[in-house]
Amino acid sequence: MALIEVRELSKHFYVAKHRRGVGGALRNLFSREYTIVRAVDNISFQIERGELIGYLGPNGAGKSTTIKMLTGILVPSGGTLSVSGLVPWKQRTEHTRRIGVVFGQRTNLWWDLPVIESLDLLKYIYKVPHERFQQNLRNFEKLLGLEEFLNTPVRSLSLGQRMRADLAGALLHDPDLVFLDEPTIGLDVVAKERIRSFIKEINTQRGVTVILTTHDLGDVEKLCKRVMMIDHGRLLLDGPLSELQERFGGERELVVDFAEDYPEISIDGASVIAREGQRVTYRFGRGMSASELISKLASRYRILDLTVREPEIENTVRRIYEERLLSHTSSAIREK
Amino acid sequence: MVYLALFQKSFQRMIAYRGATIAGVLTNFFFGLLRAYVFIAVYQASGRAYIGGYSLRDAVTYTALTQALIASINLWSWWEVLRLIRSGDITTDLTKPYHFFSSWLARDLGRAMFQLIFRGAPILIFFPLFFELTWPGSLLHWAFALLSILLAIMISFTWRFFVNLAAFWFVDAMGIGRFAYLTMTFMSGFTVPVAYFPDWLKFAVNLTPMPSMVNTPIEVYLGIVRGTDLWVALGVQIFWFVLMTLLCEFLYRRGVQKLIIQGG
Repeated sequence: MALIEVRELSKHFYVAKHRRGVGGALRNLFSREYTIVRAVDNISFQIERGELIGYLGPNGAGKSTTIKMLTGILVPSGGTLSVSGLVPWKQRTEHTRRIGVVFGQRTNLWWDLPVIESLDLLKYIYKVPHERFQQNLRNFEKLLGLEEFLNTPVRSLSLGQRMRADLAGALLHDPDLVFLDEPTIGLDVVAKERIRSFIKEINTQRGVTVILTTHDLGDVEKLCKRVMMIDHGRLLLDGPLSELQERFGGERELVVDFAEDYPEISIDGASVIAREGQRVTYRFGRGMSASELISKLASRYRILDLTVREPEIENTVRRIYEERLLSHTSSAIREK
Repeated sequence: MVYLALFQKSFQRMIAYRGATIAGVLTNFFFGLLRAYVFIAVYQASGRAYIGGYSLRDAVTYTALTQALIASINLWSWWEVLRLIRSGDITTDLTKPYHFFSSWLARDLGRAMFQLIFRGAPILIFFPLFFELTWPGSLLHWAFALLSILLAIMISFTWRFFVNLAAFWFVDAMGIGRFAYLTMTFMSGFTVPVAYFPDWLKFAVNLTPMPSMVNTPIEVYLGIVRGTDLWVALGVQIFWFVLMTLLCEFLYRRGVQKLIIQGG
């Protein structure tokens, strides 16, 4: 059985409509109209033990609502959900014992206490045997470089240090599954790198299943084999990162250095977007493979050098969000 | 044990507030002197040796004790759970395998213990430089007084927790809370002893848990409540603690259920 089984999961919120103005406010006192917000709308997926999943979506897409249901903080409005056989919101205490959670915007540590004291408290909260605690702590100290600030009160830590400490805290009790909600938010490149390599390490070395929500596609590119994308409460995409590029990457570019100056260089299925002496840049759609284009070119011209440029994943995702590329596909699937 | 650890860390955490502790002691001390002189004036003007069963020395001791207990009983400002609910930081508690109410009781007791020692004791130590105070006559008497103080802190916690829970339902919970705290200050016998109240008010107040938070431990300490009455007083305190705890637990469950069902 999969570690996480989610079937037709929904979460609807009732939000009171606020009428505007004084008159409206008075009317609000007596009668309220509600609108239903479908924060999560009928999504299904399975996650196996040991996966490292990137959960993406624009702000307000329903990511955090999904995570809150998976951690047992919210009760679903419909559908079923189980994590290692437990129903999170029903068996919350037992469930929370087995998971680790880092919400990037909040902290699990005590503001006024040195980091080590907070970690020590977590030992009692999760009933971690002392030996195991020491062992994990030593390990995390090394991986995250905690030594330099272990005795510093949390309030004096930099954001990057606090995040490292929080990550250590979420993993001290050897959870099978961790939820990392924007763990790299607001961090500099070095801190991000350190946290990414830590996440990779616990996933590959300890087999911890990781669900990572982030807006930083660098995180996803470096870490996640599988990506789930949600918008308007619907799961729009669930598959390998490469599939995302293939389906939505849009056009690719081929940069060619010709051996001589050819007057006519246009070719079917690709358009010339730049020309600088003997260097020409073509743009071509997904309808044609790069090798096809290259062999076409090679049959007519002498070529010195070639580079294929994939579009930045950053741009791909921006296009998906902005142009709502996926909502059409998903409704098309629904109609079938 | 997790609750013991929470108690201990919470105590430790208070050490960060050394400046606030010193400033608090000074403030409480000088207000104590002021209040004591008011009582002295009242006793002299009335020409009576006892008012409501309190001698002048008892009344001055009462002042010292209420001032010493301000911080640990925490009469006026405790918004930790309210803030947690409002900011959504309650999620960090909801993803931990402990009992919410008990975890906060443990944390509050840690805080209270620190303040009993570092904000309470100095006042009792320095007050005798200005006035003569009444002291418990035996170790057993001390033990009963301390037990009653401990119960008072626990009951005051349940009251504060109860007030904070309003945040689950009301946006302006802090306003409601301020009013509730003000009521508590007067009805608990903090401003003047409950014994000074007119009979109808005394009767009304005794139907609430308020006197158990301040008045009771002080009368136990002063020996005004003794013999069978002492057992009754402690029994009433335990009764209120249990009842308020059940009420808090009930309300918390409804509140958190609302939060987790409707979203947060």
